[in-house]
Amino acid sequence: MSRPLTVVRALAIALAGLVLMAMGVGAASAAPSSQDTTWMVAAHQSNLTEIAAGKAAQDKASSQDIKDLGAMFVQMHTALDADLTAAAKNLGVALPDAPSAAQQATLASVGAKSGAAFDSAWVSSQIAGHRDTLAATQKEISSGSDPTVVGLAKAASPVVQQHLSSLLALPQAPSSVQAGTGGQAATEPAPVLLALTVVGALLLATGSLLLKRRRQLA
Amino acid sequence: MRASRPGRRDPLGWVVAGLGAVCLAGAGALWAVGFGTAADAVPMPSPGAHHPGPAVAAPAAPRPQAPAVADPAFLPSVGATPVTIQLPGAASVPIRPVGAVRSTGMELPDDPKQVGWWVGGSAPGDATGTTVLVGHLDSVTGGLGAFAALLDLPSGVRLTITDSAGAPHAYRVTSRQQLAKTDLPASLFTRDGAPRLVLITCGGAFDHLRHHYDDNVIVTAVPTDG
Repeated sequence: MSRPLTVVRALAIALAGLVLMAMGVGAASAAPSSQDTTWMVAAHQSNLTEIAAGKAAQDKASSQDIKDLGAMFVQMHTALDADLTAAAKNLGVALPDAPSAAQQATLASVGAKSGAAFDSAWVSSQIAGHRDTLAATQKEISSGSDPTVVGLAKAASPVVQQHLSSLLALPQAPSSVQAGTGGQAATEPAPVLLALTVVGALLLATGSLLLKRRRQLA
Repeated sequence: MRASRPGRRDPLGWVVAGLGAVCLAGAGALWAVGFGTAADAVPMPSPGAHHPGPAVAAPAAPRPQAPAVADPAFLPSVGATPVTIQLPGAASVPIRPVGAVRSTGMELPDDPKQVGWWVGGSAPGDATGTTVLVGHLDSVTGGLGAFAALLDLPSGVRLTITDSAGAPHAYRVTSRQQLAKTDLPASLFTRDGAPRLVLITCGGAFDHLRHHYDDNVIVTAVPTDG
């Protein structure tokens, strides 16, 4: 009676092994999810943007801190992008060859400035860009499917976080906010305006009276 | 040697009337350029106000600075950049990042219909800190600004910010205060403390000669679910 049981057990073990093998093969060969490919495209375009921005900083920044950050961004985003493009090739994910239209517009707008205005605009755009990249990368880590792509996101996250921390050390808290130059919202007359109007009217009336009296006397 | 012109036999009358005309012309010119006071924005008596009283910048209990960590599993959540803010009864207002590197004054977008997000502060999805948006009350060339609406924004109003990933972030207004510009609290500009939103524009008397207002109007809002 033990023989049929052994056969059944052996068949069950073999079947379980086949199922596990199939699952393993499936996980390795399944196409990346839409979340995975979306992140790969966004991360690649961010890398291209940071590399271009880093080169611009090396050329145009007036602050040595920003030139140094630019050099670091070029080096590290080039390395991140090499891993990303290699993985995309293996997974059959097509990547664009240029930053997005919005990223290109920002690069052009910042690149058109010079001196302190360039530095300020560069830091602002880089903080915004690195925040967006980090938020997207954290989403890939929590919601991505393909282990290779999630692994890339995990590797990129601390690098981008380090860049963002370096950037966030640069803006100074403003001591003032000048947010009105036209006066159109000043709809209630200032006291000096009322006083000027009243005094002007009184003077005009008195002058007219004097002239009228003189004319009558003449 | 005094020049006396025929026909001007009452210099006093002419001088007085002339002065009056000059005063009126000056007043007219000042009216034309808007020499006045923006509607007062006094602190609102709101029982549920998050920051009642004059302590506009009183943040929640200060938190210790988070230590630098390298493990992505332990990194705090980072918010994407804010791209639009929806004020009640108004179109969606575009937001663009602004900084203040090596300058004492806050940079603002040139277009008064856009508002600026201070990049040194927090973003709506951040675990901690203050998200600071600055916007024009008005400008010489652009007319009334997007944040003119702050002057009469009541307590309890809901505001929605959308970030670059398309995620909405809802806030509820808890206070609106007006302070002299020289009293702008430095504690507004922080990435520490409980998450909150601070909107800053101008208010008070308009100085025609220097083309600026005397005060800042500061609206504070806290995150809300519904």
